[in-house]
Amino acid sequence: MAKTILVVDDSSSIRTVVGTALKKEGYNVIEACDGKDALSKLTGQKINLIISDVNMPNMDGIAFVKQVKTLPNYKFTPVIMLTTESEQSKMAEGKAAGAKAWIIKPFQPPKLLKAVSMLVLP
Amino acid sequence: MAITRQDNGGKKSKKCRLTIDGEMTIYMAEALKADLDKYLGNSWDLEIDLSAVTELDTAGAQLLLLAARETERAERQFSIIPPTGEAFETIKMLNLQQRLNLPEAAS
Amino acid sequence: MSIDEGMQAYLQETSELLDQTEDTLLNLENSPTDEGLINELFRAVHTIKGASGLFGFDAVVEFTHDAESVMGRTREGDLTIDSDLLTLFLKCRDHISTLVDLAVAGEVELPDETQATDAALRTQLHIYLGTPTTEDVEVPPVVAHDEPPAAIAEETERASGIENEAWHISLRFTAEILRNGMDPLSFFRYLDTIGDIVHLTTIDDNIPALAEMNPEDSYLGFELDLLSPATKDEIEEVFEFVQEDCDLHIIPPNSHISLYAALIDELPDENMRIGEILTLSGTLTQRELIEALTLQSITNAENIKINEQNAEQDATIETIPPKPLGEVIVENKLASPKIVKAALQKQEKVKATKAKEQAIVRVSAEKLEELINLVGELVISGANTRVLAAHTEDADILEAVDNMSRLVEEIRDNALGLRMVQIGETFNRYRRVVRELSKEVGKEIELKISGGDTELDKTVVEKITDPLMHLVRNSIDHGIESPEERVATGKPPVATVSLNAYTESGTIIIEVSDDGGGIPQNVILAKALEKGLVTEEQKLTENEIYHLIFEPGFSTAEAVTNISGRGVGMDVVRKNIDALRGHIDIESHPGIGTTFRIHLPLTLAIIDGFQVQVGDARYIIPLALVDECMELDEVVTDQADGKNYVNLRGDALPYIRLNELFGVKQREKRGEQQKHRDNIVIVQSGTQRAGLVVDELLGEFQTVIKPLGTIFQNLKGFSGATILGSGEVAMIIDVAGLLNRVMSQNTKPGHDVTKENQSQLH
Repeated sequence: MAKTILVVDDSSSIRTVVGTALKKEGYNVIEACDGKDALSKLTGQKINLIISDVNMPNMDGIAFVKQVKTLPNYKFTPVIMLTTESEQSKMAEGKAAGAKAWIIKPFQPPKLLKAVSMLVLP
Repeated sequence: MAITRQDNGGKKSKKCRLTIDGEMTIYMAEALKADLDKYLGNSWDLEIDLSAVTELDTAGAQLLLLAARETERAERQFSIIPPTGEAFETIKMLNLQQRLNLPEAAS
Repeated sequence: MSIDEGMQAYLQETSELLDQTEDTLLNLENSPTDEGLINELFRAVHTIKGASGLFGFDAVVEFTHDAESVMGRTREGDLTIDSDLLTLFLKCRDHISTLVDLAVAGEVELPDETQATDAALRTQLHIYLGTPTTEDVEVPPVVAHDEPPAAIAEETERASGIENEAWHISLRFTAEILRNGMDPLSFFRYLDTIGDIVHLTTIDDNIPALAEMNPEDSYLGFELDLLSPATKDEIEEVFEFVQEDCDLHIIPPNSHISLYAALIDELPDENMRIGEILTLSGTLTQRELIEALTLQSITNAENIKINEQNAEQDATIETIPPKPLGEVIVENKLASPKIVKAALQKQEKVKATKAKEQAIVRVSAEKLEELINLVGELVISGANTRVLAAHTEDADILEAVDNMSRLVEEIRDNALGLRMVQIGETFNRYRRVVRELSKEVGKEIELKISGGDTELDKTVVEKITDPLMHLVRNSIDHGIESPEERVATGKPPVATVSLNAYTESGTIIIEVSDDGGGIPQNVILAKALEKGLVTEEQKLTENEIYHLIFEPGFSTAEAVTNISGRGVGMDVVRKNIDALRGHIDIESHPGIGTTFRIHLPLTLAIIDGFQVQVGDARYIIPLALVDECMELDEVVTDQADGKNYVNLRGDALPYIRLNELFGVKQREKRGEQQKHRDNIVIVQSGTQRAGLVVDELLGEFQTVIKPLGTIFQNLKGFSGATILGSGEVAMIIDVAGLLNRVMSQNTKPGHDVTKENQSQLH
């Protein structure tokens, strides 16, 4: 059964690149443009992994993760955070919220795919 | 997920069969544990039927290990009817066949 | 280290090693028995194998394994190097070079030509090995190696390691890991894509009791073996996202055993489980595990030493010898040796003692000795204080001193208690001895042990081990009859040797008994006469006859076996026991068996003594041996046979006048008092009872035993001396020795026992 990944990023080009790469590997991909949008897409279907940007309008990645951790059906979903900031405080806040996997932008798709496959194989 | 208890007839066959179906993952861990609490620690042999389990993760496997240990601690028989597919792959990956008294044929 | 850098290092290293191999082989032509060269050859090829294994170059590994095996045999001296073998080795060297090049070029399939060479050379190698397959060939480990160049240090280290081509990965997670969505399973699945998990053990020991278990917490640990060409960095990377939530240990393939020791050390609570898992999964052999544990305990012992020496310095980090892998500098945390010991013991199947061991703190014997010495001084000084306080007649001071005395007494008992150990462990050592010896002499013997929980001073235990061993051997060799003889006399064919220990009136008694034929008195006597140990005229009691076997040079063994019967030993037994202020009894019944009964003092350091005055001197009688004290009424004394008896409630009790025995004048009693009233102290040692007549009874006294100097070593009748509170020296009476003498011979008035020659005794 194919695994489903939710990709949350305000940059459509990133969503596309990431989404395409993931689909090519055999994952189902759901895309969302910010935290709020993402939450609205969590409607009960099984999500195996969330990939989320940190800096986004409406609801940023950290707030989104905090919300996810309160949802009975999604609170244990692994999260990969994408960030351009190597800023310790954001990362610390995110980790405290339960997002343990961080990838610093810019990254090459293979790096992300490798990280994804360590957590969820297609 | 659901645990169904089946007492297998009369007093002589002191065996309790729990059937778990669907996802046996961390999402269900609390509920599964609560059910196991009820059935563990009595003086009955325990058989857990996992044949309808579709997904098994580490949290689920951990509960099976707990059930096995508690049953054996009470000097009762522990057995499982193995799951198939992905859930069985988990048991194989964690090398738990022997620990969970899985029949040889299944492994 | 990226794979490319790794590959480069590999190429450089192997080409250096292959060049070196060629030189070595050529040098061997001139000196084919040079061990240094043979070692060099073996080492080089072994290193190539190790490095190739790391990169998963199976063709190189398989071939070098065979070559190395043959080289190993030359190293062991099983094979001598001749020109044929050298030619073969040179061909092998060239072939390895080809294989390495192919492997680096990424050629998985060998070209036909190479394949043919490979097969041909391996066939030839197998002829030298005498085996058709490689599986049976044990590769001897590399013993030592010189400082390798830094670039290849890692591979060389690996080369000296154990024979295991898999990475060993040890994982312990925090409780939150699952809640964070990080399922260990996902990492395992990923590992399976970059390699092959050949073995995985799930450790569920830490799942708590049902009621305490939180189903969303993680309690599991994992030990897994991974066959993979990946580098350590690549493997570490897999766990990057959980690095804060897990305790990760990665041991490269073929690592030195010390890394495993460090792993076991790092996970002390699960010490034994890890050890078991490593062996069960085939990561380590049983032997390697024990080696690792031993290494670990040695290192720990060293650490402790260092720590003690540099208490101020922060010197807790010790690298384990020999040097660990360059990038895997493992800190050997200062784990308690008790756990290591427990692990070792459990491995040796002594499961029961584990819990106990864990509650034990190790203290160096030296420190303990120092403490006990100080307590000894404290006791003396306390006694002094007491004497002085008594003069003041100040009730408050007296009370305070009383309190202090009581505390000192407790401290003394506790301090001595620290040195007490159970004799059971010592007894158990004889199990193997009995099994092996009984096989050797063709007798079936069962060892029965009782009273193993009897405690005695560690120093006593150490010194009694050898005498006990000799007595056990003696019983097996001389005491027990052959199975045929036993059956003929109606005994069960399986004989019994028993070790028993118990406490009796302040002494420890250790018995070595057998249900053998008993000691034939006539044989002993005849032998003693023959050896001139006794004369025809001497009338000897049963006990004296038995004691003849303790005379130097006495042996009753008809055939001298290599177990005992060399005529040395039994006299040493007695000497050792004497040195412990103990004595030995023999009880033997023909056809039923013999019991050697060793009486030992509880401790060597401090005793409760009973102080008496004889003449101008004071003496100490061990209080434990004192039964009662009374005034001696001259009316009831009798001088029949030169032996003195006192009528004690109707029983005739022999007594000795200590003033006569020691040749001292009776103390002048106050003024001109005509009627002198003596006191008698009734003492008991074992079954013997007697009275000691003294001038005055001075009461109980804590006695710190000072050993007699070498000048007084042969002084009989005393077991030591002590210093009184007043600074005077008082001798401690060796009651058991004295009683033995009194019972076995007439004490003539004025006869000075203390100067007797020992050969006349016993």
